[in-house]
Amino acid sequence: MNEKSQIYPILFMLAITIIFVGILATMFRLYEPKIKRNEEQSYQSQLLLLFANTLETKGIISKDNLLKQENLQENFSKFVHKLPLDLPERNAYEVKTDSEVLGYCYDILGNGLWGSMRALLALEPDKKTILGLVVYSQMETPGLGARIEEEGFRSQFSGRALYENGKLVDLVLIPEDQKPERDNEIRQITGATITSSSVLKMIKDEIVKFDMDTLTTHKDKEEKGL
Amino acid sequence: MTKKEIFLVSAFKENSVIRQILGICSSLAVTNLMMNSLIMGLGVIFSVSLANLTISYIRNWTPRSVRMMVQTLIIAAYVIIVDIFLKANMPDISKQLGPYVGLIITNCILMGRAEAFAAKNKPIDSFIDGLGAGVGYTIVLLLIASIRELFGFGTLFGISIMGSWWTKWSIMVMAPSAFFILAILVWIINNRYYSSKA
Amino acid sequence: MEISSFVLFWAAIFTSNILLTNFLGMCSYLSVSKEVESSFGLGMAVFFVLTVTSALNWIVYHKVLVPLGLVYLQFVFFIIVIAAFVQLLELVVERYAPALYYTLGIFLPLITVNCAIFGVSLFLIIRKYSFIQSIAFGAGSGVGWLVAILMLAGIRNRMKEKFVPAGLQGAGIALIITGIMALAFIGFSGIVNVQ
Repeated sequence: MNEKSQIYPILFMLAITIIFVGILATMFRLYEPKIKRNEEQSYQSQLLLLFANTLETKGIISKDNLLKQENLQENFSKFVHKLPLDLPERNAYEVKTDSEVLGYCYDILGNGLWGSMRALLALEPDKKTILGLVVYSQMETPGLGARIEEEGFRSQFSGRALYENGKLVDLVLIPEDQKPERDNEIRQITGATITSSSVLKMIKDEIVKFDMDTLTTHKDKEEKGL
Repeated sequence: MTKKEIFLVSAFKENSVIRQILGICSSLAVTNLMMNSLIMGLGVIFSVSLANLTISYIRNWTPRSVRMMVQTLIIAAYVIIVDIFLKANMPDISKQLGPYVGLIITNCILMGRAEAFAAKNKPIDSFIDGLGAGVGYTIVLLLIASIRELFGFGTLFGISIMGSWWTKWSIMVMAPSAFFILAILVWIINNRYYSSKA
Repeated sequence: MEISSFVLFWAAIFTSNILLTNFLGMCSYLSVSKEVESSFGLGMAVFFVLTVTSALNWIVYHKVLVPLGLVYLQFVFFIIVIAAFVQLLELVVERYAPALYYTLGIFLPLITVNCAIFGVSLFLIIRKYSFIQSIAFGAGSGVGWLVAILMLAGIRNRMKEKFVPAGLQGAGIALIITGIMALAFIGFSGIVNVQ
């Protein structure tokens, strides 16, 4: 079959691999900056969006001006301040104007059905009430679990109290077409029970971690008189 | 066979999904929305036609023992190129497709066409065969998705068709419904066009 | 992940069956399930490939790609590992079990693109399994796939195909049976959290 030696297939394979991996590596390097920029802009815009209403009602800046692409980076640096955090893979932000703190934002991590998910959880300045939630990265089924990104699902979290009588509230899922009767009920996405409960679990597990860490960090700063 | 014949056979007479039962996994996953099906379909058309072209071009130099690895590598490379391109230029769409780009690499249609056609035919013919297979696949996907989206969400391509009085059929949103719809589609097509063969 | 490898193995067979819950690995499953014999043969081959490639790909990812910063090439490397292994398997089967080789036909090389195998490798990275967990998950998924294809083959075998309308024979009825099985397996979902 091969009058040429056994070396030829290996050489051929090697050559093809080098050519195509080379093409891929080049494409990747070429587009990497743009892809990173897209991700960064999406992140900044989604974080700012959580506080857009607050900023607009206080007359500081209109929603349109806040989220305009040219102004994104500038607005982000102006209003959002990253807090020092000891937790790996997560971030905490303080959102404030010159005169007052508008709230906090935690960049949390959780596990869905198909892969990990990340969300931005915005809290009121008292850190006890949710201002808003946006899931900014997930790998769930498009059209099904991925609907946790939709306004209809995540708007349910706005205004929810995190604590009741000093204890963390246990959020529970109810069917999508049912009307919530108690304060801890969240309507799930029909057919995406696991994904919906993953979101609840993520909030519950992560909040505890942040509370311990950010509170410690702040206490440290206060003690040191910073 | 003429170029036109190659295309038509690949797209319709020997349709990859209905007749050859290939590409099923993605047919189940992305057909819950028409937009997803369209994008997946376009990705497959691009990948399978170019992969066929390349594989056919080097077919006379490809040793038999590494044939499959070479085909797989080339297919994977084109799919990743599609993925990188989407991520950079159409990030929203890329987000929608996200996990399913990987599924194009393992879409049996690509390997199937490479083995069955590109490995033995001329480059341009293989390219057209790939185009046909991709187009045929996309049409089937859109057919299934039209039913699933219409009854599951009341929309088509995101445009609301049914009013708010419509109770969504949850089963249409879940993957098993695609099994049944595809089975019915196979049934109809077999009956209409292939009654003698069945 | 805190889940024990033993539990993961069983979860991969029943509650997170790669074929009936995640719908991966359909093509060969639908076509080969006509005969129980060849279903068993293909199932065993898939099981074997799944177990070995899960281990191999874990090593490739954590010991090669990550240290070298080549994570974006993971698709390419995983599929090459799988393709190489299947090519090897093809040569072995052709030599030692020619009957099986001819029955399986194109579906032996198609194991390479069996989305189940690629999917399992991707899953174990996404879910951050350890090496032992990956092997357990790969093996369990293989058994799960084998069980699923045997179930379908068994049902098709027992069912008198003459009662099935002409247009539905073959692929059509296989799809419907699988759909029903998939619906049934939804009942398993959430019992064991495999994340």
